[in-house]
Amino acid sequence: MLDFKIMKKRYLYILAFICTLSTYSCKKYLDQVPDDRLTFDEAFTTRATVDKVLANVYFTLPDESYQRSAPGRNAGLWTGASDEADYTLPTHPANSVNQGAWDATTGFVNSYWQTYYKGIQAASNFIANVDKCQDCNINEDRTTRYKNEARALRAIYYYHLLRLYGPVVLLGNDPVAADASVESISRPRSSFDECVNFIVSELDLAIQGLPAGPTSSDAYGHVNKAVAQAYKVQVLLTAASPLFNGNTEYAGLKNADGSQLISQTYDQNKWKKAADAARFFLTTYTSYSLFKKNDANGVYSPYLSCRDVMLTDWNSEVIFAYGSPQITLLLYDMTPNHSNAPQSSKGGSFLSATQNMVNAYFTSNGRSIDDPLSNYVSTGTSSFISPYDDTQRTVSNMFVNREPRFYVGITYNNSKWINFQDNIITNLEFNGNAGKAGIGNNDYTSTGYVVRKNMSVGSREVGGRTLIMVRLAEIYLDYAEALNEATPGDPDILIYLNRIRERAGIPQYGTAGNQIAVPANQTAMREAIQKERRVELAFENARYFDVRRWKIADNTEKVINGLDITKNAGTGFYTVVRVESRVFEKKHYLFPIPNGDVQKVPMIVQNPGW
Amino acid sequence: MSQTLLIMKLTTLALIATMMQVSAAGFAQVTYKKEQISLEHLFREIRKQTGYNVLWSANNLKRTSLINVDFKNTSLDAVLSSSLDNQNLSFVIEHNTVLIRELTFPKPEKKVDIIFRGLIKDENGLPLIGAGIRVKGTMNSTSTDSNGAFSLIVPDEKTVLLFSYVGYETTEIIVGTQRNLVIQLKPLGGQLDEIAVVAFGTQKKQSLVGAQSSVKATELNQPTANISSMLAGRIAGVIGVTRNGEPGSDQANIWIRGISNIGGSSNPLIVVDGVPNRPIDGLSPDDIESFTVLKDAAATAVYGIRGANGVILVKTKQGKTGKPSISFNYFQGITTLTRIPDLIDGVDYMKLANEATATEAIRQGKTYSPKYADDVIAKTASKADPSVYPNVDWLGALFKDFGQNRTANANLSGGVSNARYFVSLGYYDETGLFKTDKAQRYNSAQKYSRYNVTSNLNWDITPTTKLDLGIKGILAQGNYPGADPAQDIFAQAFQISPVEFPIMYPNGFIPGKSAQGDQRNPYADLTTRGYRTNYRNQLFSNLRLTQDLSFITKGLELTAMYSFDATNSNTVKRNRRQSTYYVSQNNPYLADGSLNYGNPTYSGQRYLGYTNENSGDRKLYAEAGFSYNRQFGKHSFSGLALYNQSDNLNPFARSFTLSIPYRTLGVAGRATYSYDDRYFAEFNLGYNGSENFAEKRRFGFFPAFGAGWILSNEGFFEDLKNTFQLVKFRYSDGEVGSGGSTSGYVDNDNQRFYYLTQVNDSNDYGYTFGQTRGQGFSGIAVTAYGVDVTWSTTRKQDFGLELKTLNSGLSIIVDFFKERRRDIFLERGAVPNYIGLTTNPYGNLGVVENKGIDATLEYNVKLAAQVNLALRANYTYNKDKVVENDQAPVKYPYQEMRGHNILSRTGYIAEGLFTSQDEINKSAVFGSRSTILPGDIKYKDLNGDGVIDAFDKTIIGRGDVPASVFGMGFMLQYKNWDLGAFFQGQHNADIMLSGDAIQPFTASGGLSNVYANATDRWTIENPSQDVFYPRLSYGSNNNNFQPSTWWKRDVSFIRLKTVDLGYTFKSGFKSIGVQNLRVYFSGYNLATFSKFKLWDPELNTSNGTKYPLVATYSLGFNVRF
Repeated sequence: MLDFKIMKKRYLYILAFICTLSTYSCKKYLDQVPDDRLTFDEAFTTRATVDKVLANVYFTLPDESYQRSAPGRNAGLWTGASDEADYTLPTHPANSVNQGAWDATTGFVNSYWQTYYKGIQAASNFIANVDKCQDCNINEDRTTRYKNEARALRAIYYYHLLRLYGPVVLLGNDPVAADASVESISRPRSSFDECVNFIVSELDLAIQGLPAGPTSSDAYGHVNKAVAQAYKVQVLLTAASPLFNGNTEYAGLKNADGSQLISQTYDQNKWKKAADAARFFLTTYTSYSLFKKNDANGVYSPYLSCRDVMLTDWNSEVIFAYGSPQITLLLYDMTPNHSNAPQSSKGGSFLSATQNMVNAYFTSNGRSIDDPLSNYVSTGTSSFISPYDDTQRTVSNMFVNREPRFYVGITYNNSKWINFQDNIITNLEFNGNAGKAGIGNNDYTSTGYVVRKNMSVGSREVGGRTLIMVRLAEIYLDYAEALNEATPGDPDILIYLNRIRERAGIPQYGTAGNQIAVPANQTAMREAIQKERRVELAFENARYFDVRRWKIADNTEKVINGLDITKNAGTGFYTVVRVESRVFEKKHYLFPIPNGDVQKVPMIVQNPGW
Repeated sequence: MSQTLLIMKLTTLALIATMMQVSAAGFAQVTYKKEQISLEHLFREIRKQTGYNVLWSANNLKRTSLINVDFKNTSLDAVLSSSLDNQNLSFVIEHNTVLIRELTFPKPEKKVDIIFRGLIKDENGLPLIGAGIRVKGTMNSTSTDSNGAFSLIVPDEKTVLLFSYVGYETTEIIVGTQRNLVIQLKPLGGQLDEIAVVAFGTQKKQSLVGAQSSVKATELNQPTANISSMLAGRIAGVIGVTRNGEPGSDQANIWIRGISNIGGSSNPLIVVDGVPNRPIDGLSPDDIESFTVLKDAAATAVYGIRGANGVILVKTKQGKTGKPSISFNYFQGITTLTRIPDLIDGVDYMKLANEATATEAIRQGKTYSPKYADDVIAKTASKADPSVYPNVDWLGALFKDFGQNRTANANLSGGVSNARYFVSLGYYDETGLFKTDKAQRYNSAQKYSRYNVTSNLNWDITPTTKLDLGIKGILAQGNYPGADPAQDIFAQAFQISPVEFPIMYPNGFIPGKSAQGDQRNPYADLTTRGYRTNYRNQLFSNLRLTQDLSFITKGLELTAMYSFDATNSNTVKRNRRQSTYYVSQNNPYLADGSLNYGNPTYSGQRYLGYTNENSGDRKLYAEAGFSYNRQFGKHSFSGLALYNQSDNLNPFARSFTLSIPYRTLGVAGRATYSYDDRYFAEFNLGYNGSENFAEKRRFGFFPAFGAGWILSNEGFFEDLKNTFQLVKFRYSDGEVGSGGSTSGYVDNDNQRFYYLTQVNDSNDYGYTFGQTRGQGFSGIAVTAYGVDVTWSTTRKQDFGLELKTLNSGLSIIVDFFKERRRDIFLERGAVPNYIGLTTNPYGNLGVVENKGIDATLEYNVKLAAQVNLALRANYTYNKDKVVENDQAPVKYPYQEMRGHNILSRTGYIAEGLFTSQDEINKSAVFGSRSTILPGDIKYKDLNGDGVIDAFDKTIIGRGDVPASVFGMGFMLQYKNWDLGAFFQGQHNADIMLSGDAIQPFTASGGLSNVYANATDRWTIENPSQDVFYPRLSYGSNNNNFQPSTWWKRDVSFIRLKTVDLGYTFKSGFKSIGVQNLRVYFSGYNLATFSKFKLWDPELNTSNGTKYPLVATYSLGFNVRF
């Protein structure tokens, strides 16, 4: 056979000869490199670009306003996949979850996994390289601060993975080389407690190097000590919760070496850790307070307080908020498809609140609707003026005399649309202006309600605000919950629970005349805390995870009720009907590990049932 | 030298002596008259008549010519003198003996020009007017007059004359003693058989050892804008499919010997007139001489990293010496859609919608309330109030019955001996079948029109230097409805049910319900949303210089070419979306009886907006090299060494990275040897590189060899030659590359310079800080990890057999091929996602194998005196197999893609429809058991885990690109009539049905239109398994519309692609200068035979929402002056 090497050499000579004849040198002819672009190393050398690299580390934070297009922008499918609401888009991934039509190969299962790990790798890359910056420390030690922000974010991303997938793979501090062999990067899942310990130690480490709060107006939105501490509370609360604390249903979840991934013995001390962390927050970061607002007459308004805590950027209650959410998408989803309305008040009705959630709101006297002492009436209509309305309207008694947070959270039939400028009464009955037949297309609510919380008071087309990720009320509720488990009867439980109720404008638990009797025991208190949490944090992406960590999802996530949208008021609209039968099996407490990674790295074990 | 001189002197003396003796004798006389006799004959006659003994040597007479004699009592002396004149002989008469001797010294130099006269005739003996005559190696030339006659002064008898005429083989003669000659030229017809176009040149066809096929352009001259749609089934080895019938967009996808790349480009390299990377679409078939497809390594290795997907060589027509010849071709056609999907009638729609709702109510345990009340159905059926109770045939509302197309092409060619020209001007237009609305003031009619200008000029600047200039221009413009692309309008008709709203309201309001982008009114989309125009101009230019270097060594030639191509395209969109209204269903009429339109459901724009887009490219190509071609006895050698470089620039690039020119540079080499036309060997190589790879891995070296044996030229085969006129075997083996930027432009920065890690700065992944959200930062992220990659390499092996039998009437060529492509450039699939890389790195990871066969059969026979029949058929079969794709490991072996073809389709295996709740309870089901009802699809639980999920998917289909493509046709000539037909088809391709209309009442939330065959469904009353649709369901159905064998459809078809019927007037118009007039009917895409009936099976759509292919019926004529 021919010796190609020699041939090759000869042809190189010929090529070289011809090239010397041609006007270009051949080397030059092909030697074209884009010289207009930043290289990886250059990106870390100046503050201007380091800020952008850091912004990209933050970008993994979920933009929950984008849930219609979840898992885009890492938005969750939590609102539509919990008993709070129904996303009335047939293609929405929450509907796959609700119908049980998902598995380890489903796109969003992989998406959250991959996106958070991308954020983790981006943070690790940032931590490993930010010291290259030449001008970051002028006037301020930014490399240290930035490094700790990245460290805290990385821990936060691990927490997001942990509550979704259970025990995950821990990658350590250093970034992974892009061309590393699969063998060198294969590692098993760490146990849940190892993951928690890692996250907590990372947060503790970050807290040491972070400022207590925003040092300037520009620093809002950056992670600080309080943010890291708030997530530490959440991590520890999750770890103490029944799903992960001695859950014997996960006895089979073991690595190949037999090590248990989820603890099999209940450890009450985990609650104490959570309670301690929350108490530390509340006693250390005292500049935060529940947001309260007076009405035009200077009288305290629970309605305005509960509404505007969501709408007022960086108010006293906000611990961490997403800086540039796609808020108008969410506003569109929450605006009924008012026929004949101007665009400013015409939306998609995509986010339908469930009867389950409507029923969860307390009555104006602070009781559950099934409490015989409540002033709830389920049938008939009354002429009623809601806390925000300007006039009396004839509405179902179901919507009469409810607590202020109900009117903040729910758009119901015959209520005045929040954008007063357009002066619309939302009618969700069959032939109503936002009803199934009245609009003549598919964009009608499936339940006869639309979610309202977080809705701006002006045009739905105006965005430009932040979206809260953590606020003080949640820490209060976390604290009360942990304390009730760690040290039942601790007076702090009632103090913080009542602060929430006080702000909401409903009677507190206590012994005073207009107060409601204090829940009798730990169990009753647990129930009270859970009810309060459900209402206070409604539509804030807490419910999906709460029912799971409390291990109550097999009860709550099965039957979704609503009103009969195929009827008008006179013919049965107000009849509560089953809107959806959801599928929830034991395995659904956790996402499956994406099948791709289980196949690629066989030492990664799959979650039970998947 | 001095010796020669001495001999000459002595001879002169002897001659003088002889002459003196001749005069002494002269009494003998001869009488003889005869034509065309040899001297020997004459000498014998002289011997007989005179009794003189004539002595000659046979050797001396060897080079003499025949003469005409007419002697009457002529003296012997005179007879001999006149007879031997110019015969290089002398004579001596001694006593009664005549001695004939060779004249051993040249006659005295008398430099008299020879006047050479002649007559040039065609194959039928008719004079050729304007044929060229040239003295070879000079510029001295003339042409024939109106009688076909010429005269030319030639320097001497050794002069070689070249006779040429367009369409005829150029003939050479040596002047010699002739002064007057009738020359009959042979028509060119068979030339394609003799000379084959190969990479960077031509070669004798019989010497080819590589696999290549060609087709004459006349076969492709059909009423279609894009010639690529004609290639499938015409050339063995070409897999082609046309996916869109929209005017101007009916380009075909073409793969040579199938797809062999995973991702990336599988398109062949197209070389037009020697310039690589030129598009063929848009070229006028009237301007094309031939198409040649190079398939194996021996034929393509010289293209190096650009050759692995095969190469198509297109040669345009060149001028021939001769009188100017004008040819004019015109046809006018009527177009219709090959197949329009059959959508359901409104009344049926409502009844079925109610049925679907009813089953949903059963499933959910709700009480059933009909979707459409009986009175609504009755009112719709009565058609009494179409504004409120519409029943619309949306496709009928969009499409006219007929469109038209036409072509006009004129070309002028000819030339004098040292310059030839071919100039052509062409026009094509085609209107679409979309309707327009007369009420609109703009023109949204769908129309594509195109002008082609082609000129090929060839000059012989000096006897050894040739200059060829080719300039081709295309000016194309299209006018379209405002929606972009127009196919979207078509898709809209599948989204809207027939009873949703009327086409238009009586007052001109546009009916529509959605405030969003979906569920639009298709008719309004078509007619009221504005228009879009596209102008595209393209200039191809190439200049080639060829210098004969015979003065260095015979057979050596230097050639150099430079080409510049430019394309510019400009699209202007003027569109809007007008307000829509929807008459209230509760209260349709106002008190005055007018329709209650209410407020707009969507508030739109009244005026047309304006946007414009430019795109285009500029390409430079240069090559220079030497070729060598020489025969030594039975040995033939040829060689080629050629340097080439190309530079493609995208002037409208969106980023600097994409604006950097795409370059390649390299060397092509070839050496061939043949012995006695029996044994052939060839070695080819390409060595080239592109800027796309890191410096040390930039160049690739691709060698190939081939060998051939013509068995039928062997001596021992002589006895069989009556049976087999040709038996040839050939084999080739070698490597070809693929990589760099051969396929034109990439559209993503990350797809260039793979060896560089790329970070990108984008608002798409940044974050905003600040109390007032004032600290917004774009994000910087790694968008591609640099990896040291290089081109992929394909080893191609080809074994070919060529046979000619039945007196060369039947010719069969069969090629068996095997390809293995390694180092295919792929995204890594096996990297776990928890590593958190922003994108998966790439690598040279993939391996694909192709095996197959392609064959051509041609049969030409004279059936009777004036009846000729030609049959042509070809077949291509390719089986591609993924050997390695770096896919993630799979849980079950049946999920493995390796071992299957590249486009394999995955899905569930449908086992039929559930017959009872009992069966559902016992079976594995998809999702929740509570959502399944009898009549739903039952899937096979492949892993036996009791549930149907993604782990039960396996490979269930091949994909939409056929494994085999075939074509067959005939051409029958009887006297002046000709009739031809061509069938083309594909086999082994499938599609998966899904989407609007084909998923009744579940696509688009239930609102979509429905196919008329929705009545063919499972019902409780008729629980048949042999139905098209499972149980109807409303809203969504996760179970029934999973990709599965239930929805897989075979899209094999046979199509009557073309029919031609023509009549040629061979005489009768001569008086007005017409040489030839043919009048013809031509049909295109006339009939399609397929088991798949819903839409044209060649469209790769899952639900029929592609602009259908068109059938054309045209009449035309072709006239040559």
